Amino acid sequence: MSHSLALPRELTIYTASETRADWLTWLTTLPLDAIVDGSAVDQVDGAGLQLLVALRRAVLQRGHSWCLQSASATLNQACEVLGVAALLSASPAKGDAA
Amino acid sequence: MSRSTEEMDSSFIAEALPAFISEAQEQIEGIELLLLQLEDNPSDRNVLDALFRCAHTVKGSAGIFGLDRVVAFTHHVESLLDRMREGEVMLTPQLSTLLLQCNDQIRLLVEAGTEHSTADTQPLRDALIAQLSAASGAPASGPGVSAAVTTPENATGCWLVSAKFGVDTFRNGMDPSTIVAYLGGLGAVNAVACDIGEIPSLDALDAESCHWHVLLTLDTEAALEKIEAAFSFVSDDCELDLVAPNARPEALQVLVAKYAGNAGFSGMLQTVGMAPANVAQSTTIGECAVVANVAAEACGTAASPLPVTARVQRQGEVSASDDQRFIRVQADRLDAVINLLGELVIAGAGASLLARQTRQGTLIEANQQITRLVEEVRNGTLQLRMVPIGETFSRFRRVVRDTAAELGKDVALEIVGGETELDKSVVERIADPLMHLVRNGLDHGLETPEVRLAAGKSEQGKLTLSACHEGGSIVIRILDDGRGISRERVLARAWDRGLVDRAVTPSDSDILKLIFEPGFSTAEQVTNLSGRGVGMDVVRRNIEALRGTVNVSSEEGHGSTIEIRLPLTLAIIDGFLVSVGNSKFIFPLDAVVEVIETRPTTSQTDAKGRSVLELRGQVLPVVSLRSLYALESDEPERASVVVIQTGTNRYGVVVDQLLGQHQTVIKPLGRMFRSLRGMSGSSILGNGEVALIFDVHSLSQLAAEQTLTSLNPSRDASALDRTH
Repeated sequence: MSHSLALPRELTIYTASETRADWLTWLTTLPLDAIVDGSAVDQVDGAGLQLLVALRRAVLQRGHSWCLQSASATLNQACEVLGVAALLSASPAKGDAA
Repeated sequence: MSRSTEEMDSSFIAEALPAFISEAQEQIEGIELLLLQLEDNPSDRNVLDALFRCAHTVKGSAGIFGLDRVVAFTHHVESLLDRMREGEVMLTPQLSTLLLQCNDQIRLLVEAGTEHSTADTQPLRDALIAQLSAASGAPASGPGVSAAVTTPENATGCWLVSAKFGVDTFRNGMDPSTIVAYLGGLGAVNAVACDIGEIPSLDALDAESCHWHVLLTLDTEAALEKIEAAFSFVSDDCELDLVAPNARPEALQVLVAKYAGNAGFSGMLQTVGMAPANVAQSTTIGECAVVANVAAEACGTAASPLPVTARVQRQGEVSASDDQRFIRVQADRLDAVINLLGELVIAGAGASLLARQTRQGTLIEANQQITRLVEEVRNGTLQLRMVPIGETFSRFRRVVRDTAAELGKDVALEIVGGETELDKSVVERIADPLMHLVRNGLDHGLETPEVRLAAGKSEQGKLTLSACHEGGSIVIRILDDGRGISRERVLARAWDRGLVDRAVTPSDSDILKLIFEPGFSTAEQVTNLSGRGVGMDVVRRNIEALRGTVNVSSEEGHGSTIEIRLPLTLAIIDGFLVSVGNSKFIFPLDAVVEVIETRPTTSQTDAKGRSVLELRGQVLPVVSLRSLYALESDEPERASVVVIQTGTNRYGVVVDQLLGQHQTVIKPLGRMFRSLRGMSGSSILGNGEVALIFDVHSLSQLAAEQTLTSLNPSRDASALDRTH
């Protein structure tokens, strides 16, 4: 089964704690090819982006690949501002998540 | 200045002048402190810049008020400081003394304000100006010619900005991405990199902690201050490093070295086009220079040797002139609020008592909510009055420096615990006694270098001012390693002055206390330094007026320590309410360690209600309030012991009933009760009853004292009993 994770509309400090809890649950049922769908995101801040980076790290740590699909314009722009654009675009697992 | 301008603006000047004078005095104090700091570290660019800004501010605002003499004079000081900033003149001790004298002159001129005083100090000023000009190596320019703002070489080009945000950034409502986006508004952000290795895995992440470390290159013409300003909201909590476009290679090297332990940093440098992969990890000078060159090339400028190294470490390092930005509030307005608050606390206690009597749950709950809020308001308001004592302490730097020089002594002043806070009114009133004690220590305590060497001590004497909190009070200590106090001489003088009967030889500690007696120090034996007609008795009186105590201990030949113990605030405390019979008493809550049920004492209770009991294997002296104050009421079936800590001592107090925590508005004791020992004040309870507030320190002294005086009679009495 391959169920992707749809990112919520809001990825901010205000929702960070709940979102983290949701994602931790998702991680327990992690499919082999983790696909994260970023199309819905229309609000994102530093805390939200940090959470996403942490999620990626958790996925890679569990030996899965990471793929962020169809990131919304908002998400793309936020990644660009903080210099994480390259990392969050679709990329196979690299052994960099020590 | 033309008279017409003065007339036109006279009303404005009259209104704003007091504010200007007080602000200028702040700046002048800042200048003094900065100068002394600069003495310790003449090459500190930040201090020098702050110094220049202070002088410039004084000059600028004096100009607005038409204080031409201030403007003209400060201009010369500023010129010299400017030469120092350009590195053409170095700070020497002589120069420092000159600048301090000039600062005094500025202070005088500012205080004189708009008055054209007849006792003008023009000759002195001219002499100082001549010295200033000589020192700066330039002919004196005409007074008040120009504002002389020398802007630092404006660096344009590509900045390297490294910002490691603090862990609480999100919690403080700040967002790194907003700040970086704002930087984009100052110019073009060429490349951004972040260290995602710093961000833990989701399992380990606290979603509200911030782990961003961002490195970016910013192509802007904005000045350093502008870039720094973007980070002003996070400055307390962000490690910001800026490398200017034309910075020396060392600047980048410092940055690389700083993050040498961060595996991700080299990657970040690479991402922003600043380093070949293998270089950033090493920190040798040669290779780092390569890094710097690459950095400069990436930005399209050659690495030039201009000394604009803008490494700004912001964490906890706010320059002395910047942390003085306060809202000015008149002290009496604040006092009025605090008075009202005291009434509110009393009224609130009354209301909650009534609410409890009605036994209506919702009413009681609502009242509790109000009480809680009042408590918060109280804490907040009292906090407004709290100031660190360090400001007062640093004033003594100058005193020590000048006084020691005058006396031909070499003295180092050490300040410990300057961040300790206490009530502003206490700080204001303790400054004079402290000044006296410091001068006293310098004059009588510390010896000249020759004497010290002969006594086998280091040449330089040491004077330490320390402050710390101890159980609801603040303790200020003045320590010197001088010759100490000679008990024989003190006693001899006390005999001469008739303070002590010649037949009596008091104990050592009592002899030392004699120096605080009125009439002990007299005009002829005080030098012009320590004596301003104020004896140590006045010092003690001032301290006692603040509900404080002063103690002196001294070891002859090794120095003396004067210990001042003061309450933190004069207004409101958290109290612990107890009762004995019908009387209510309050202990300061900070002093209460624990409360235990009374138990059989391990010793007989003496006539004054003192005994000891065992608490967790340790002996605890206890005193019964009923016996100590001879309260007439029946012993209850069960009593409690409140364990009190004062300084290093612990003792227990036996009381009938515990009534719990109580916000206590301190009212002074009336004149009739001044003589009551062990008490520091009184308070009105919600139901109108009066409770007495204990001064735990003097209560312990009172209890201890009686041990000495009453032990023998009681022993005699028991001996008599046996003979019967």
